[in-house]
Amino acid sequence: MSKKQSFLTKYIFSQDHKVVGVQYMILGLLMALVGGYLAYVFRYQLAYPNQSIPGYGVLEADKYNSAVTMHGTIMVFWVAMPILLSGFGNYLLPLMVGAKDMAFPKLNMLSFWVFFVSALTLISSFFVPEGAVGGGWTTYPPLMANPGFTGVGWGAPLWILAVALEFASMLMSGINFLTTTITMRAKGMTFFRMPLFVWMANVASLIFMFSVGPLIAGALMLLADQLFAVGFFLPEKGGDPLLFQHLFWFFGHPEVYVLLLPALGIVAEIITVFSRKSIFGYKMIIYSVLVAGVLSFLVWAHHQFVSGIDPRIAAPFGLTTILISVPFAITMFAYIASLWGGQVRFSTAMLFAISMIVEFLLGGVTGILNGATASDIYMHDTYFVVAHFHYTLFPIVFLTSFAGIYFWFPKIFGRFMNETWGKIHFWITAISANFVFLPLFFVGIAGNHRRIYDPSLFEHLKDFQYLHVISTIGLFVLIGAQVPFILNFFISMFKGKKATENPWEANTLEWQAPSPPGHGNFITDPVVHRWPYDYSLENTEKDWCPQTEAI
Amino acid sequence: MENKSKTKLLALILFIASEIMFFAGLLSAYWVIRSQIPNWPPPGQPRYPLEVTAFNSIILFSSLATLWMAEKKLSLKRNYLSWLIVTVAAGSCFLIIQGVEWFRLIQQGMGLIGNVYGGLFYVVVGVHALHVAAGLSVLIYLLLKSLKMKTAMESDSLQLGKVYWAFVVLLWPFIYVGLYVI
Repeated sequence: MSKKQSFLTKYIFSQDHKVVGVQYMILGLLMALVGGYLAYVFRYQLAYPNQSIPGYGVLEADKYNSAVTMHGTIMVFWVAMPILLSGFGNYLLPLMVGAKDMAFPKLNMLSFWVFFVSALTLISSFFVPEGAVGGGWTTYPPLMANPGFTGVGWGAPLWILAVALEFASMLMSGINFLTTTITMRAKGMTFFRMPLFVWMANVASLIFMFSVGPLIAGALMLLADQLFAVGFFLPEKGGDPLLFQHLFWFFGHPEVYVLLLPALGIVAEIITVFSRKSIFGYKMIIYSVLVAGVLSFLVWAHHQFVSGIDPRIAAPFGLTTILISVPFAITMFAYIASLWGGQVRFSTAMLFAISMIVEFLLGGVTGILNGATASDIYMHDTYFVVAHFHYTLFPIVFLTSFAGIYFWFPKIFGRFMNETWGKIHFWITAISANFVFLPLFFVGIAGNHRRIYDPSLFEHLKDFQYLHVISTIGLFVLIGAQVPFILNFFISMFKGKKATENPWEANTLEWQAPSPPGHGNFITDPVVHRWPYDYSLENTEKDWCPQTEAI
Repeated sequence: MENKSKTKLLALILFIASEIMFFAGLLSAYWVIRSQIPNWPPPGQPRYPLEVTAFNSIILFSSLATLWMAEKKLSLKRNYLSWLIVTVAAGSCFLIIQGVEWFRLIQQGMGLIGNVYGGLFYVVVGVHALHVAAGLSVLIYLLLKSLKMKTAMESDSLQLGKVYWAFVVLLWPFIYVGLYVI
């Protein structure tokens, strides 16, 4: 760049996709601290009911509801979405397809700042009269439509506003991803030479864009209920509370795949590099994901098996729910097959990637029990469900993000993160996470409803209180394990070992650019000759072949 | 430049696709609630204005035709401005008549509070009106720009404006038939 940039245009109001990506990641990590703090507060209450919580005080019942609601909201919309899709997507997608920047850099900058405002809006709802919303992250009416309940006064409209802004921001990102991928690929970069992460980010964006509309419609009507007391979702006024559940889950379930797909993309890139093998079944993975993308629109009502929907509707949704596990089972097997027989290098990034596969499988398998209507009617709204989706979302959001951060850190900042501290971070995180979530399966089967403020009040749960204590102590360890990560992140940014262009000996295009890449990414425009997974070919000196290398 | 405008068109189409899903959600919500209320319209409530809106729909549709003419004239390098002005006038007319109808309905006692029948009308028709207003501002912006430049504008920007306007207009029959006619 010939123009000299001031600090403000380079790092704050930047149109460079890489800076925007890092901004998303850092804001997402900061929000994770808020979400983690909330988890600490309500887990403390669950293990040691009604005691004063260090760093908070006594947690009242209505504030407990707010804490749980905001924890879910923040972790899904302000941590998972920005880090996985917008963060890694913005940083990697143009680099991986060999573009100089996004198709619409200004729109990209705008999307981050809209997201920033949405985060402020959400945080501000903690400080309004009656506090943040407490109706659960699914914001079901009639609880959320009636001003008589927790946090509906101010918190609920602010929640809707924040979510709407966040979705506007994600929509801008998604449009940018798709247009960039379709129109700005480097010479020779055919669709079936694109890295899996690019495929996954695009399918995720498509799923998001096609599912978000009905939720916005529902949210608009919910807002009208809150502000003007219309009664769209209040039965006594002729409305229908079930309608909102349909509109919410029509978006809410595809949203799961909006988070899962970029995570699967990140894991695919990492396991191929560190097992020095090509990915197994590249096209099969892509087709599976496309099928899953379509199916993801046909499973939503499995969240409503006990909401009073017609059993004739429940049965087909149970079937599609079991069906959608097939493409993901194929993908998981393809990943395991990619590891098989490889020369595995156990770097911190690789450890996190493998642990993601292992822990996500546990989450996926327990999902079958929720998808089958018969067992779901018993499990529904218990801690079993909570344990299930934390076993899917914790690996998707945190294990994968850590894997990605350790892996691409040398590219982003031109320096390595410390591997020893990275491995300490990994082992404590991966093990303690199981202590947090595994006990919840058992509490759930024992009949602990997921929204109970004080489990010690129930006779049948008294024998299981020790499981809550184990879970909470696990959480203390898990949160403590993030201290070395945070220190490692910031110290390595300035003092870490310097990285070369391609420190992991990887093939994808981002490793052909300098570390860190300047504005405009590549020194010479890359020309692509092969797919990204040529590792350990026969008759070659080195065991990798960058995509730019002629055949 | 050729490529950039194609990229913009692609982005716009993606945006419109998500908008279609938004209206699909809104209209299905309308049908779900309506199917559960036996008397439609409920007693004491005015009927949604069928006849005036039929006339208004014709105005909206002719605005799409005039915009199409403007684009055609522009591609032939003839005077397109008058067609664009007619389009903007027709679009504004539609919004004004809608607004007048809203006031009439409010006077006839179709309120929002506790009234699902009225609420559905105001939300669905109101959201569409906002989209018309957005499309109209784009057209007015293009009009002012080409009046200021005194040279013909690039056909690309008019094409983008037309695609969005076509979306807004072609969406209307679904709302008109769903809410007013049936």
